Amino acid sequence: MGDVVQGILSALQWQTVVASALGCALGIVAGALPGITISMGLVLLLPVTFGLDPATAMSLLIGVYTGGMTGGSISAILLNIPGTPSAVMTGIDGHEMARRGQAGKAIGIAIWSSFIGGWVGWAALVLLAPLLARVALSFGAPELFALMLLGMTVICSFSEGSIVKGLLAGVVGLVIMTVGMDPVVGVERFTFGQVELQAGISFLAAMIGLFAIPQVILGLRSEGPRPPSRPPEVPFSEMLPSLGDLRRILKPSLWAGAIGTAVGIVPGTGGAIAAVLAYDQARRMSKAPQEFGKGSPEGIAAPEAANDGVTGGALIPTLTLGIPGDPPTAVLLGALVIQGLYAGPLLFERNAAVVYGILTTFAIAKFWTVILTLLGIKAFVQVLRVPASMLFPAVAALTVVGSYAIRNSVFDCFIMAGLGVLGYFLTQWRFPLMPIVLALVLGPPLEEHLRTSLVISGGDVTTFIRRPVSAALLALAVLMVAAQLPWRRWARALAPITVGSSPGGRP
Amino acid sequence: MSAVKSLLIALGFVGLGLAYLWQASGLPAARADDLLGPATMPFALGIALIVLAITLGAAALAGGAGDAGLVPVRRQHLVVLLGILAYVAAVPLAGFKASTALFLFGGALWGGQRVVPAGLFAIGMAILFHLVFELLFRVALPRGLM
Repeated sequence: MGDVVQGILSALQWQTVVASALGCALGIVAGALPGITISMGLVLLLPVTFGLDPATAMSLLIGVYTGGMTGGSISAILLNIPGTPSAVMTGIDGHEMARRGQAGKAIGIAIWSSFIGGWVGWAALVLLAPLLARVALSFGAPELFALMLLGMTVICSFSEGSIVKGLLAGVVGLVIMTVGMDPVVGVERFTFGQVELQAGISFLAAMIGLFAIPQVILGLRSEGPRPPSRPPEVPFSEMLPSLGDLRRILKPSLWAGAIGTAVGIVPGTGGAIAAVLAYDQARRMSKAPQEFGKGSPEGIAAPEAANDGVTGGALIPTLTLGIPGDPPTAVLLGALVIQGLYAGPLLFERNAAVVYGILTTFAIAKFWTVILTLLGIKAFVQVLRVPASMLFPAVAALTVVGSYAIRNSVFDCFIMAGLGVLGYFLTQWRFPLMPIVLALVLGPPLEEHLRTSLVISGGDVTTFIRRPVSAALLALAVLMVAAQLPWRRWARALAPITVGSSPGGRP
Repeated sequence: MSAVKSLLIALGFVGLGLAYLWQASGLPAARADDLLGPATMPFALGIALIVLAITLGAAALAGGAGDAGLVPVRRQHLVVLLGILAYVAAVPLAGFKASTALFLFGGALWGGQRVVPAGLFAIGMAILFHLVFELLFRVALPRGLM
């Protein structure tokens, strides 16, 4: 109980509350600006957190995460340019409503449904995370290895593009993480005599490169839609919904919040998938499904509530198991590491006050997002007019200073740039980057748990199968990959070869 | 064309896997207190890299596995990419502030800004970085050799 109170009090300190507000404002801007993702906003702010205490640092970043989800819908509704992939669905009905001269009402529905959905996710986080952490506390090295392998396979399987590319990206990430000192006996691996590589590749520098550099390369001379010189007016009074509108969006928002939370819990999914599922569900439940696509309030509320539900859901595996639910939570894991904290069941045991501080600041951020969007909408709309020719070079400069500041090392800037270039080519070749990022986070503990398991079992590999939890988790990992493999396509491709190679074979 | 490119990408990964395995072969073997040793994980990853790359190549030959729609690498992207690499390479030589100002100026010009706004933007941002990171956060930014 003492930890709960201490956590809540740490989140209510003035500097933490101010950091949360600042984070929300920056998150709304990052979410609203096309080409700047929430993950990118987070990685660019990471260097700023070095000098902050854990409560203030996490408040700032969780503010960005929460604010970013709502920010994405501002540009989607007003300009039909979704700031984040998860806001694409919001733009369908939101922009339609804005075109009819009801931009304020559309923004208002987005804000309030986000708020409702966010609370659903928060409630799930508060209720489920401590329980899951308690279960995970009983895990030994084999279970932890199996759990991390499952987390990786889930992300590789659900990533955009083919599963083979997802798995390949995951392996590339693990390969990168084998550089440096071996985690068990301290033998140097793949350092090529470079002193800077002995400590391994800084996963923060790697993350900055992978998340930001491809976006800078793609965004600087982007031929995408440009914001108009005069964005639509958004009167304050219109953003406060009527009782009738609130009643109409309440049920779909609660449903969508639950869908978003459930999707968020599954690692590697994220807001875009949740928004599509929630939109579809809301249309099925609606009394006026014909209005969807033509400015339906439920059509705005459902994806928005789902987006914010995802944030709570994604934090559950992140905090309890150390497996990030989506790309922004992977960055939040990195932010915890900067503070000397390692997410997982032990975090709840050893740093419970920090966990409850995070939960409290997450709730505070929801209030800030509503207040700041309502009061600052005009300023946020103006930010959308910052030209790409200034925005993206400034982002590139931030990546350099950010990667340098991690260890005051120019070498880390080279690593960041190198991995950024790799990230660009992989993006163009349709490889998902999320498995690489996850491998950077999970790689070292994955190997450590594997080797520790075998040391404990005296080299008996069946230890993973004889223990029921690890066996179930490994079976799930295998099933997850097997279910995603394109068996039918392979069978079709192999059919002519099989038929041709066996004389007299059946057609 | 897409299949050929996919095949080349797959071959690239096979090459990477082979090079990685070759490097891993020099790592010390397992010990009594560490049954897998430092080499096993890299060996497993190298083999996984090669197997997955072959699968990717086979899928490309069979005309599937999500390989349709490789986005072409555009010349203007390569210009930005080289600009970023040159900027990072210049940091230890010219120092952070000078190289950043130059990069921001060039980036803004390349992005379509006129000379004066680009110049003001570059100088303004370099000063802002100095104020925020050097004075506020006490980060000793690289000063360069000059």
